Amino acid sequence: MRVSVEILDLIFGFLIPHREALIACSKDQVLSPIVKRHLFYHVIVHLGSRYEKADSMYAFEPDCLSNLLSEDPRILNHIRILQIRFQDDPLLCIRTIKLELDTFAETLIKFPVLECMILTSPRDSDWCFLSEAFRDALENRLSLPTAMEVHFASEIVLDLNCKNNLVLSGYLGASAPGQFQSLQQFIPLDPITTLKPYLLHYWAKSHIKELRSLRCVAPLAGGLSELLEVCSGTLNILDIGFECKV
Amino acid sequence: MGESVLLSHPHHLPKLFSAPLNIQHLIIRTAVLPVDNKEILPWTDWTTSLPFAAEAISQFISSTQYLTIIVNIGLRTYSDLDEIDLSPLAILGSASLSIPHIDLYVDTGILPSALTRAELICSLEEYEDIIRSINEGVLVIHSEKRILE
Repeated sequence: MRVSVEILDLIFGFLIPHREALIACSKDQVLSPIVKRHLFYHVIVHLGSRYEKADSMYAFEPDCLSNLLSEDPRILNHIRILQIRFQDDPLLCIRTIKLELDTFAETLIKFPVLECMILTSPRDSDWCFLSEAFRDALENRLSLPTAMEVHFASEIVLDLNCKNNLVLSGYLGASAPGQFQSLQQFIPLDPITTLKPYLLHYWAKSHIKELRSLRCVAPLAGGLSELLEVCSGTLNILDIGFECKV
Repeated sequence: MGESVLLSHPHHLPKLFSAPLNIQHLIIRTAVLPVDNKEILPWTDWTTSLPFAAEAISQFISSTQYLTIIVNIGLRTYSDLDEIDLSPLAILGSASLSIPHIDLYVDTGILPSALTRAELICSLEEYEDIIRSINEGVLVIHSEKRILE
């Protein structure tokens, strides 16, 4: 019995949560091209200090990922979600961060079909030290026609100018005055209770244009009004969660 | 209502917007959860954000084309549902006069969804506007869980 590539593709799609199974199947020469599409769909790059579980087929140190991509450039076409993560290391100095980002920028610019980027760091300040090369590479990739989402697991501190209809989430910080134009959806992660309305208003005014969809939580202390005022002309979908307080 | 005490936020929801809005789809997520005090009190207290959700809906009534309201109720036992004050949902009756379509999803975690729907309709049947809007197909109470990204 011969199973078509399409059916195999569907089957391996179901195996994404079971990486060991995918890795085992990727060693088969016939299955390998189909399996790798799923295996490398979401890749994590660890910057900063050495990561104990790196090189586990989906989490890499930057130089290992570069080597892998040099050996098999087709993998570049499989990576749709790229997560860039700084390891929590109090000894990490600014110079090291900048150097790692500069080096990784050369790799980042090669990804042709990224759909989603996730930037995580235990310290908000890490993203303040972005090198120009890395920022340019990031901005460039977020302007790809395929790019749809960018998520910050910390403060949004990048002064990016992105013209895509992106979904953006993150904590509102003391961001530099870049602007996300035509945002498809904005998901502030801060509980709005902790946000000062004037800060939210300032942030929204200087960073958001043409917002179409907004998802937020518990606007009990105000602030939502200011945000809605900024995007009243374009907002189509509003999603508000009310949390219970004990 | 049994011997329950409903806790809610002590203050009102501030005005959510002043600029004119035309929202195509308003999604309101709300919850009713038990307060863990069984060791102190013989009854269950509940904390709810339903009154705030109702107030938000009332503010958006004239600016919304389509409303989805999702209520998560953290029931511990089947009989708990009788203790929950669902009266804030009465706002959906008047909302249905202005909003062309409303979807209501209630998930209890333990009750079969069809049973939750039946209990809900039973609790809301005293509100004429609600029954009218259900009969007219404007308000739809769903018996399956709504999953929104």
